[in-house]
Amino acid sequence: MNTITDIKEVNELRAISLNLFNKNGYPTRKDEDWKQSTLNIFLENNKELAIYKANKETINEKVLENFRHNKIIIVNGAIQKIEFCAKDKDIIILTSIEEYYKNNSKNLLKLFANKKNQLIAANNALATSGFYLEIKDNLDLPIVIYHQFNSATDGKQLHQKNYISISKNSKASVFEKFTNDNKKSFINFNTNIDVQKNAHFKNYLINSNNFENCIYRFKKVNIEASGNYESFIFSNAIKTIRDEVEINLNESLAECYLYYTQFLKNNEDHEIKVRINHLAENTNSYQFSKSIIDGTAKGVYQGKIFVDQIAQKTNGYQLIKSVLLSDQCTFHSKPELEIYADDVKCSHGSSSTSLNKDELFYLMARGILEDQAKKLIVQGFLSEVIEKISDEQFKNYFLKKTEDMLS
Amino acid sequence: MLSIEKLNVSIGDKKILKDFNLKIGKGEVHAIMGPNGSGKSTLSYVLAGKDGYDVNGKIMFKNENIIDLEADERAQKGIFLAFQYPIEIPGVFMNNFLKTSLNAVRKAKGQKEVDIVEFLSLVKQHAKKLGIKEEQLGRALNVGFSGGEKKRNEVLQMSLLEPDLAILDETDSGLDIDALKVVADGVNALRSPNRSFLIITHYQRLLDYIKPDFVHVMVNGAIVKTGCSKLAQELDKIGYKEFQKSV
Repeated sequence: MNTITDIKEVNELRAISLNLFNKNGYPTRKDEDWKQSTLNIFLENNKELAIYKANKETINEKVLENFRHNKIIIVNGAIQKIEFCAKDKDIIILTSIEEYYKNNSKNLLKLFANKKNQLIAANNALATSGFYLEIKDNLDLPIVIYHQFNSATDGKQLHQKNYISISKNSKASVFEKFTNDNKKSFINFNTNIDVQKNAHFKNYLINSNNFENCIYRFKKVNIEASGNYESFIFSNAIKTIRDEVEINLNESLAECYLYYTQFLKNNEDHEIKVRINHLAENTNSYQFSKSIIDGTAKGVYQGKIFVDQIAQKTNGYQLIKSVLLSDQCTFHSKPELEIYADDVKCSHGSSSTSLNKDELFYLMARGILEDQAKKLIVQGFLSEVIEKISDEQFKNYFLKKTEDMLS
Repeated sequence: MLSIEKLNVSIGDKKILKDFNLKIGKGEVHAIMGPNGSGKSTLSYVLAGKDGYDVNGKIMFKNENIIDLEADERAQKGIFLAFQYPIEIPGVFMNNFLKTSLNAVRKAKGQKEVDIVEFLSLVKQHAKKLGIKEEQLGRALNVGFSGGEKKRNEVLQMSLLEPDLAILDETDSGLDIDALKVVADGVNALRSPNRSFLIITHYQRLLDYIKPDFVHVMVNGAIVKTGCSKLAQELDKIGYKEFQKSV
């Protein structure tokens, strides 16, 4: 494999990570964090996947959104096209991650951290593609990052490392749209996000059209004083995905809002793992996830709220709900609280039920056909999360997506 | 309109309705009164087609035995149940629900479906008559509604769907005097020679506003006495004890 760059420090960090990965290998079900994971089965069966090497690739224009936005099109990990509106072009900095390493060697240790997690070690060792995105002021239009993966990655593994920095007092909405036209690939996606003082970052993501792949996506978010991070992940029509996020609320009044909806059918599989570290006073976190699981699909939600002893006046809230539509589908929920401060408000709730028969009867008693009544209930169930999205444009976008998905 | 013959309903070993018989003619208003646990609400659920009961007998509606029909099919044929406890469904918005329901029933009747403009005009018109605020139409179905708002919402749905047979299951429970009057006015406005009502209630109060043609006393899963509207007044004085003794 050729992951050597001309930056000595990066090469050293990669070598350390590779040794670590070689020592520990891929995660297995014996690891507590991976007990419910199906991703490791894929990895066990596909240990010798070749590494994809970045190339000039063709853009799939069909998936471009038709609302006004700043475009970043990334194919197989490499930036292929950018298009920023006149108002925003001077406040967006976008480069490849390699370019960023060259000019910012002091940040490298942070970007190559997290060595305990085997897949992050693999990413640190093997990622050569990715981007650096910096937002320096309030964006006029949202950014849509199109992550496209095509057949050039068939049967290969691709490791991508990204870094997003939202400067202080800035506001930005970034929508990441993943489309996969590849087969039997392993995509290992690692993004560091810094939300600086009083910055607001809205990060929305859609997983779809991903029938034949395995994706591991890890985000680490550091939030400074009065910074606000809002994320929403919409998953439907996927194969095997694990979305993991670790959030550090580092300073007072930092807050994060994490929303998820899943609609999984057939043998689809989506795991969500969240760790929120309340590391300062007066920090808030909010997690709200709703899942509809059908067929032999499997959903997993592991969510941990950690409250450091100095993080007094913390508010941590977690609510996980799922509806199981078949006898063969499963949903695993593992809510955890670890609290070392005494003046905190933390709660977690989790429920898995079948479709509410009284709701169904009520709608049918109004003449609504059974299938349509079920759709209304499912749509309503998922919409409750989507209604929380603070960006009106994206709220409506995802409400429409949900409606389309069910029609 | 409706003819129920030898209707037996049970859940597991528990018999709830026993050889129940009732005939309701076109345009008639019948009231069923009875103590708690006599099977009144079960009757309303079974007529509307709720699953989960063992049901035997005949339910003839407009000369068709509907006993094997699903709830949606019965509603499309013109049966409407105003629920005692209207269900809250988070995320399902009133307007969307009402339009879907209205068009499902209209389609089944062979009528033209309404578009959003026609629908909004229609629903606002009906809502206004029942004192329902427009803001309520933009909320999730019954979520956070007060008891009175929920019952008015049931009558709103009834007035939109224009059923042939309306079953009101304790629509008066949880209503204050003013709300009771509004709801009763709403029901009275729907009375017509072609529409029949079955009103289930514990108290005579509602029947002061909606005058029934017949009053039935239901005890232990069967009708034990039938009379005119005066029977309701008698019951108000003597209660159900006499009837319970005789069963």
